[in-house]
Amino acid sequence: MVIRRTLWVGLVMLAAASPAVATVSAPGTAPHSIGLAITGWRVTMASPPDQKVECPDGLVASNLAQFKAQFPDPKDREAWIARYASPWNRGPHGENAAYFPETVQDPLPYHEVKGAAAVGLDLDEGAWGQGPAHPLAHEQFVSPTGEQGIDNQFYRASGCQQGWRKGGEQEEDNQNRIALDPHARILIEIDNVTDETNDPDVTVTIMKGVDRLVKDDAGNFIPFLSQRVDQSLPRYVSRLHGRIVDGVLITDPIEAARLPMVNGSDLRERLMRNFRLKLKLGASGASGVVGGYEDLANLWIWITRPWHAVFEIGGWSAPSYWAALQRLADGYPDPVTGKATAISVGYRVDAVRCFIVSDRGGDFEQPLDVARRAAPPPKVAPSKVATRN
Amino acid sequence: MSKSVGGRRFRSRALVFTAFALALGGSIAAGEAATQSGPQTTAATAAEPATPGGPLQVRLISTSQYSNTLAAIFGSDVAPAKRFAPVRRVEGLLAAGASSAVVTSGALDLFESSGREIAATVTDQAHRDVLVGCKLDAGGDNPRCARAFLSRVGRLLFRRPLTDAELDKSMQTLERGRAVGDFYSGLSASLTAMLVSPDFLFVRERSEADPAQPAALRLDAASRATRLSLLLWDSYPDDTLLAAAEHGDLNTSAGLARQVVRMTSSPRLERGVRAFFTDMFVLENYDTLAKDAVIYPAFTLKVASEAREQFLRTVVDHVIDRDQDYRDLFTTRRTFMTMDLGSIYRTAVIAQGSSDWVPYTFPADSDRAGILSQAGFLAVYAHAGRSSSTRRGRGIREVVLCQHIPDPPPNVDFSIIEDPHAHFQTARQRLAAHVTDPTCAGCHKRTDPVGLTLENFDGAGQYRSAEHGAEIDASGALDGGQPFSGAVGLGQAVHDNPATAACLVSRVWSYAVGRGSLPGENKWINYLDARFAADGYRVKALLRDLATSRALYAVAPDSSVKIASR
Amino acid sequence: MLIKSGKFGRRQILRGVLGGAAVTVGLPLLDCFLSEDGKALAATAQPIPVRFGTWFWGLGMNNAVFIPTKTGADFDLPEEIQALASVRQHINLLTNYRVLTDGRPNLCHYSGWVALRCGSVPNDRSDLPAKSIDVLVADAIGDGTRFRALDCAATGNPRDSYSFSSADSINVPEVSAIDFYTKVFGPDFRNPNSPTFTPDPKVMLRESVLSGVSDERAAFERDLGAADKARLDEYYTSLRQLEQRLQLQLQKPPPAPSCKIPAKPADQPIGIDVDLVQARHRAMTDLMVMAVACNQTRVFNMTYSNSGSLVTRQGYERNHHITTHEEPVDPKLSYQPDNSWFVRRSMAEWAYFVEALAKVPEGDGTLLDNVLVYAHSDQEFAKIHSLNGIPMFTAGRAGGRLKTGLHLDGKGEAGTRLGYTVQKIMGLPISQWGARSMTASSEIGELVA
Repeated sequence: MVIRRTLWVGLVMLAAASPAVATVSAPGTAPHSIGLAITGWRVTMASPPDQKVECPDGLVASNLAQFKAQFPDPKDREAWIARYASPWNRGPHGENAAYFPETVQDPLPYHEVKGAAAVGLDLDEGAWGQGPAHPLAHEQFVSPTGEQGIDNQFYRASGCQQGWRKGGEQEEDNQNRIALDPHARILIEIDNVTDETNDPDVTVTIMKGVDRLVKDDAGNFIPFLSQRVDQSLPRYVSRLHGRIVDGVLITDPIEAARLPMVNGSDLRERLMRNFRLKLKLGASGASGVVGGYEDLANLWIWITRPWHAVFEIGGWSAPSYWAALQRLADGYPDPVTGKATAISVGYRVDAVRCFIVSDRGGDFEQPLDVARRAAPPPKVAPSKVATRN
Repeated sequence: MSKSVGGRRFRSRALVFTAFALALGGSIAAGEAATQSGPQTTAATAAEPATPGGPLQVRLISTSQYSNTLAAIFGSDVAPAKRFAPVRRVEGLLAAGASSAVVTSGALDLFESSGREIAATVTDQAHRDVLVGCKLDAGGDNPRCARAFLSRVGRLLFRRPLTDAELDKSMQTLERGRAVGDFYSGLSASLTAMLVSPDFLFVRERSEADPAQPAALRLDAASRATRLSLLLWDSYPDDTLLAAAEHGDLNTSAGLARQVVRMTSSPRLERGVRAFFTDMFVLENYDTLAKDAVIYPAFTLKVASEAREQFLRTVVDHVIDRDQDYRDLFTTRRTFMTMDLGSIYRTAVIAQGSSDWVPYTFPADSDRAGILSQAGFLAVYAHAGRSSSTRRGRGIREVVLCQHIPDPPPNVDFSIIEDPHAHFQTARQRLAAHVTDPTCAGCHKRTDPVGLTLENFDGAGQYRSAEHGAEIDASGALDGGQPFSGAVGLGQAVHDNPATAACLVSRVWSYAVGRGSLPGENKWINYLDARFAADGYRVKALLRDLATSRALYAVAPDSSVKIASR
Repeated sequence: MLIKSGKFGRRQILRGVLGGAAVTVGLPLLDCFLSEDGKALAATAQPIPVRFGTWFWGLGMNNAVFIPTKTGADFDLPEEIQALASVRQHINLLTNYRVLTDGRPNLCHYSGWVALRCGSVPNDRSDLPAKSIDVLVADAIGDGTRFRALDCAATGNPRDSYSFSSADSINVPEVSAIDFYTKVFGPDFRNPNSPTFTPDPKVMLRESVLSGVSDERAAFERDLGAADKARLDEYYTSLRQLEQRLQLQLQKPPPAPSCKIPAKPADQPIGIDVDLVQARHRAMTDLMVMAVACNQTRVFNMTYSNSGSLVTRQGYERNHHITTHEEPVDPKLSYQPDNSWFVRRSMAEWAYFVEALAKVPEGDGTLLDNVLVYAHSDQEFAKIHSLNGIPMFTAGRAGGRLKTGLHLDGKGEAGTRLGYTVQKIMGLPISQWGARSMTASSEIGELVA
């Protein structure tokens, strides 16, 4: 017997003396909830093919390599550094290549993933130009388990960078953050479950948590810890509709989902469009794939801040990377320019079962961006003072 | 049934105390009313049977008494985290073993190094102004202040004022230390000497002539105060209690009652109650509790230590804060939880972070109720990778019911359970052989039927409905009581069993006097049983009754120690 | 050149070094460097003293794969003692020695080791009838070093001790490698190989503090009952022993060429999993061996696993003890394979312990040449708690007085014969050891060099 955490409706009044009781119940019983905390979040496959298969032309050149190619003469490089302080500042006037990627033309060629397989989901079902994402036509992958039509242009663009390969810096850092840092705690509650094997109608709520997870001696996450919801950040609450088929949770897409993340030491967030989950449920956890179209502008922010500040992390160069993302992005084309504003991506995720609880009663605070959207911008008299860009 | 002395006493006591309760109903009711509102009336004291008195004890200080005493004098950041040599358990209690404990060479090394560390901390730059408070003269000395400090502290450590000769000696030690360093190293040396002295390490009881009865002896004031303080606060007497003792107040029932009320109303009572239950329920087992990391990965060392604390918090809340019936500890659904304990109990816990404790109540239909269904008890009395009905049954018998279970015989025939084709799934199946084989049955009939009712909880205290695929049968009975099933039923059976309350009384008495009870104390123990029942089995009331009794301070007239002559 | 310790009091030393000036104090030897019969001398130009250690493991062996077929030298190493291949030449294995109870109950996992430790079979589980063998040896040779004895328990349980004077006087072992390190090599450690020696005024002060407490003995013990007086006697004895050892530290210690201050160990979490026990055992052994090499003690006791060993194996439901009772003897193998797994681990640790001693150079040979280790278990065949044939070992050459490399079949004789032999080799002036049928009065000739 389980008492639901009804956060969205805001009805729950929690007295300190009567906390929730939750037990795992057998299928075919009264509706109950399943709580999950994400413990794994990876763009790479569990058993990737040989690098020669995926990147036959080699790995992408690092920023330093591009810098050396841009200025073959060491004296020129010395002079450049003397003037502009770092190899990242490669624009014509010393602009930072990550913040102004279009000011730099990387001399060395970029390499995309040429392999056939990738983690991900079939986001568009081949319906180019249709649906909310209006996907642009592109090559598709096969999943490691043989499913066709996998859309993961992000992996195509990034997978030949050392940092995005198995064991690479970006991949591992993101993974560690998700697992260990409460700032990146993603909770998933599956409500209205009557049968954990086959249930045509469940609701899924994604939230941000605040509590740590614990690993046992073998490095496995201990299930059934209690995880509090972060009720100060309702922007991370997303509600999806789904079903369970043969033990696999499959959700419909949600148009926009923001997810908390920590990148390096910075608090960031992902903006996922047309986002959906496919998770195989187990007794003490779940694993599967999540996917959607990651907003490109938002992605570029978390990819480049703070990575630009640490040279040569992950072996990449911003200008050619930005160009590749632009070239390969396939979702939500801008109605005027026709250029995609989001890129398809799939992540291999793991989760551990937990109790999702709330330590305060009542409703969420009003989400900030809703309030902003609701109110018209304030009228400001034009200023006679020249403004600086 | 057990033929042990304890067992016999409990059975007869179970019958006798009912009679006593009826006979003493009137005066007890009056006493109880008085107890609830204030000091004990003379009528209730008069009903107390005489006791022959016991020997004067010489008890070795325990680790917790040491740190509680020093924390009270110097603050808790000064007391050591050390653990001193464990003493023998006598009559189920370390408190009784302390009366025969010795200080081996290795144990003394620990006391000496600990004393030095404490003395160094008390006199260091960070602490000296607050704890010592001596202004030094131009020569870096202040003998008057030092002497006053040593006198004040010495009285609290030795539970009596120091003589001039002792203080002179202390000052000589100080001088020797000052020659090597400075005033504070001298003070540190003097303080170390006190902390290593047998006057501090041993509670040496002394008697004096009883003015009311010329030929008789009574415990002297310091010894009274110390017995009282060790019982209620697990610490040496504080200044107020010592002053009352020195003033003769503890020799009058009003004066004694005043101190008892003060001490049982104090937050320091919690330490005393914790110390008693830690001893009686053998919580030292937690010091080495660890589970197999593969079989029970969720039972981390943090969880083990929280399980211990869960038990103690439950006890403190029940017997101190809410002053409830002791027996209800075995049926109560109220306890406290942390987030990590929640993973063992498979329940949501809403706490403010991973170290936070929150009150928690098991729902009415839960499989758990009472301390015997808590993960701590279940895990301690189990193996690293498996539950153990025998251990749990034995634990309940010996710890909760004060019943002795003899050792297994050496030449046991295990061939039945060794049969590799047997494929026993549940513990009940595995243990069936024990209960039928005559060599084994004697003891296993007393332990296993009790422990098997807890088989729905694995070796880490986690709930399960089946073991190796077979449904668990948790039915049982306790000593001819109503049959029941599961932990909730067991808790009720233990609650209803007369041995439960009798065992607690017996343990509290032994704990208070540092020894098992003597044959001549049977009437007194029965009386105490009756009072406990009349008081609604409330531990605070029992402690008050004990603390204000004559029996607690009675000394045998033929005790070989002569009158104190300091 | 030998001066009785009383004459060289602290006052003289204090006057000599007041002000803390560094002084090279060429002090003569104190008589506490002598054993009682004056035969064994410590220090610089004299024969190296023999040290005494004990080692304990729980739950015995599986005869079929433990007991060599050959007796005498060059004995074979069946499977269970394969790990001893590298140390065979340093050890003796003794099998088929009995513990005779004279009708007293065979208390499981108790009577056996009590008898082999103190010579006397106990009456009940609260009985330890006599001093354990290591305490007898420490009484004879323990007062010449900073510590009378050092005890460790790799199980992590402070109650796992087989060193005692009585049931109320059990020596408590260190259970944490870090605490053990701090105790021996922490702030109070003085490097014996330091080129200059300054009697530490702080040590003098400590000694003076203790002697001040000792002075009050008569006053405190007055009017005490006999039993309590005996207890306080032990307290004052411990006090005096600490005083004497502090006085020793005011003397320039004899150099210890093999002494190398070890690195501080990592601590291990509590738990009785065999890998944790092994890690603790090895860390503690390394420290123990160096403590001996640095002359911090001459008597040392190590418990690998306790009697009735509760050691566990990850993922395996039954601990060692339960395994011995529940596991059937495999009819083809003639032993209990899972039990044997634990025994083999125990023997691997015994080998580690012996090898650790053998690795330290000393004089013309190694530390092990000047050590005598007495080792045994609590049962022979744990399944049936048998007392007959509890396996015993020695390790080391005891300064040349003990032969090594032998397997001896005791032919049913009392196991105390080994304990007696060992004490005689250590120079204790005894003519017998043990009680009733466990009385031993003749050495095992084959062992004596």
